[in-house]
Amino acid sequence: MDIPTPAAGRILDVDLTAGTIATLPTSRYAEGVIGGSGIAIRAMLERIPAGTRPLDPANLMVFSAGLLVGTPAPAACRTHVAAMNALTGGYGAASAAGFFAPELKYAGFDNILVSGRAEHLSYLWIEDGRAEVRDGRFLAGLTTGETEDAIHAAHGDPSIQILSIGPAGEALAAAATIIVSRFRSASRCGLGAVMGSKNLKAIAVRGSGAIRVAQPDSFTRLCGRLAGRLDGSTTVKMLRRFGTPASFLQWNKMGNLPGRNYQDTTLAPGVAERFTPAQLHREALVRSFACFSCPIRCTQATHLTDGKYAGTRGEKLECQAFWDFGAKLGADNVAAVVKSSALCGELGLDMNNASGAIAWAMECWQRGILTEKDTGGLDLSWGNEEAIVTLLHQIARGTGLGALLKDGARAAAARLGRGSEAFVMHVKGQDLAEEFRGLVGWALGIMVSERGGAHTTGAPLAERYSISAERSRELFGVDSAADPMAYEGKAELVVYYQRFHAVLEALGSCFFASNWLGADLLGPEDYLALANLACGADMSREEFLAAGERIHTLQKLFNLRHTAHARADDLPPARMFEVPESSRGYRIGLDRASWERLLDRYYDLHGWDRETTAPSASALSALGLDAYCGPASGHREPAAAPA
Amino acid sequence: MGMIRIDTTICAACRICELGCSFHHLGAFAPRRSSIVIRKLAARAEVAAEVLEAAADGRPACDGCPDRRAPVCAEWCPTGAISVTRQAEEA
Repeated sequence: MDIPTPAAGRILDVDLTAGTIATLPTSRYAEGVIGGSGIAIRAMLERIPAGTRPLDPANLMVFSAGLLVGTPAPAACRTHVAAMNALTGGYGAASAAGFFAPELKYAGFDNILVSGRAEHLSYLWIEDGRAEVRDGRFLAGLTTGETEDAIHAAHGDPSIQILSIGPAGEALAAAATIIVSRFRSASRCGLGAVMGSKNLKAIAVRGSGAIRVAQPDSFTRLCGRLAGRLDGSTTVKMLRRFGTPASFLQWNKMGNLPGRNYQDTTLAPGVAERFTPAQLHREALVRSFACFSCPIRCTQATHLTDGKYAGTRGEKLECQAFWDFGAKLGADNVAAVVKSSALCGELGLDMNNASGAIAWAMECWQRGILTEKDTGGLDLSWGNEEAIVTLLHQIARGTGLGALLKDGARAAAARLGRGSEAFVMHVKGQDLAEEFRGLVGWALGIMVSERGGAHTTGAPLAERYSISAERSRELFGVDSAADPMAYEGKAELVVYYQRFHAVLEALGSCFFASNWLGADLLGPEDYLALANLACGADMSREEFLAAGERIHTLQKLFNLRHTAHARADDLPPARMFEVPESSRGYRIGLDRASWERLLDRYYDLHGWDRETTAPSASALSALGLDAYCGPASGHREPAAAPA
Repeated sequence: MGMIRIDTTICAACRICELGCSFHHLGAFAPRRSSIVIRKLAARAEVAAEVLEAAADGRPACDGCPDRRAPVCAEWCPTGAISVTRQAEEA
């Protein structure tokens, strides 16, 4: 396959130990995987040796700008980061919107490969086809915002685009994230810790080059038409006004929130009215912004002007902040959630993983397993916002109780013991971020995710849509997509979104413009049309989505090579098969036998073994991945039945 | 040629105007080579904007898109933040 036209055409290859920087043609890894995240997994499979641990210099980080990034394709702006996962030891990846990835393409690169470990804290400076590793010791200990300001000042240019880690990444906390364009987070998988382990504080880029497409006039006309469709969407109108937090109370109404470490699935009586969109607007929202080339503008700038958190500024407040701090930890007011979310950004913390560890600690406190002797006098009662803020600081710096919590609940429980293991809510070692007992497909997508949970690798939101069976069939090929508690058709729905999500990631396109968020938004055929016009290609829908299946399969192969993950790791924590007393009357509750049948169906659809989850030789062959057959390539044949 | 005004309280800083402007000049997408400059001041939740009347730093001067009904920046802007007064209207 020729290099696609909108690709910058080159990959930057940085070895921080040797201090060497080389370039490779993008075509080296692009075959059959579109670009961006597809290139990342191919490079990881080739370059991360067996036996590597996440914080070893041998772990490879890949920073990617997808195929459509840098063009006016709606919301094609995401920076994708991949590496061996600091929490699971398997595939790790996250992405963030903002402005970094397009700048990287304009500077001449589609991806950056980073291996090794710099001698001291450093940052990578990239400008128009050139790159150098610079001394970053002047950035030590700075928050992510301070890091951006310091690099802008050092270069005398505030328009430079930056991604960075905060104190949490420097402290190698597995709860560390990478912050992009000041306020966007590439959350989950402990990628901030991996970056910290390489002594890489930041990457800064300035690019004045151009990105071209094969059929510019047709392409830009299509971009305009798609932007117009987005503009007319009711989903988009809601996002513009409130961002994703607008849906928080809908999740509560469904009985689908992770209350008090998943002990409740709704907010306590009387709390919901403190979180209405109107209240949010009154207390915190300032104005809306867009990411690069995005007509949606779902970003809300936040600014607390009153109360004890006055002066707190942030951006891109997500519904997840309300799940994490409002529901999971029980903070009962908007200001506490906005403050906690903004603080995580400054410290470079993944709020899902940080709140997961704190939720475990609070449940241990509730049950008398942790006491004041363990917490240094902190009162870990549910909803104690002073304790939450203190613990976020401690986790980010590995001090106080943070030394126990910084690597997630599972690692903390393994160290503490005392029966605390029973209260760890995790997926493959990573803290569970979402309640899912009321949505079967959502649950499946989260549990089988190769990155260890989270809902951006196949988990459908369609179960919350109001669509008919006919519309469901038209979109997804199954009748039951919008029936949250149906098991029938949900494996198919998850596989549909695994492929679509993988394609969107490889394109660098934000999911928020896609039919993932609303049935009236863009579908695979729209992105296929964009890709074909951009590349002058004639790819079919089948080939396009097969690229998604190929990328997803390569991620599975990475996990088979580096972890012992198998079917048992796709089973929800025991608590998720129980329905709390406070949730009686809600239509929730997973059934174990039905779940097992669902898993069978899911593996069958991929052509994977029902026990080991390994792809069959024929499934690999159908994707042109024959080279990955056989144990030496990380492909494990199904285990022989016991004699 | 006319006057291009940008309302920075409405502008969402998506930089689609820069994409359109560079496309007009180059037939390619290169925001740092556009005649319109949008800078998001994230820490203050503000936007700064400028239209270049003279070429600078590798950027061409705004030519007002004489070949189009309206300047491409205004046409592509999704928020309506860019308004244009053509010379005839100014007179």
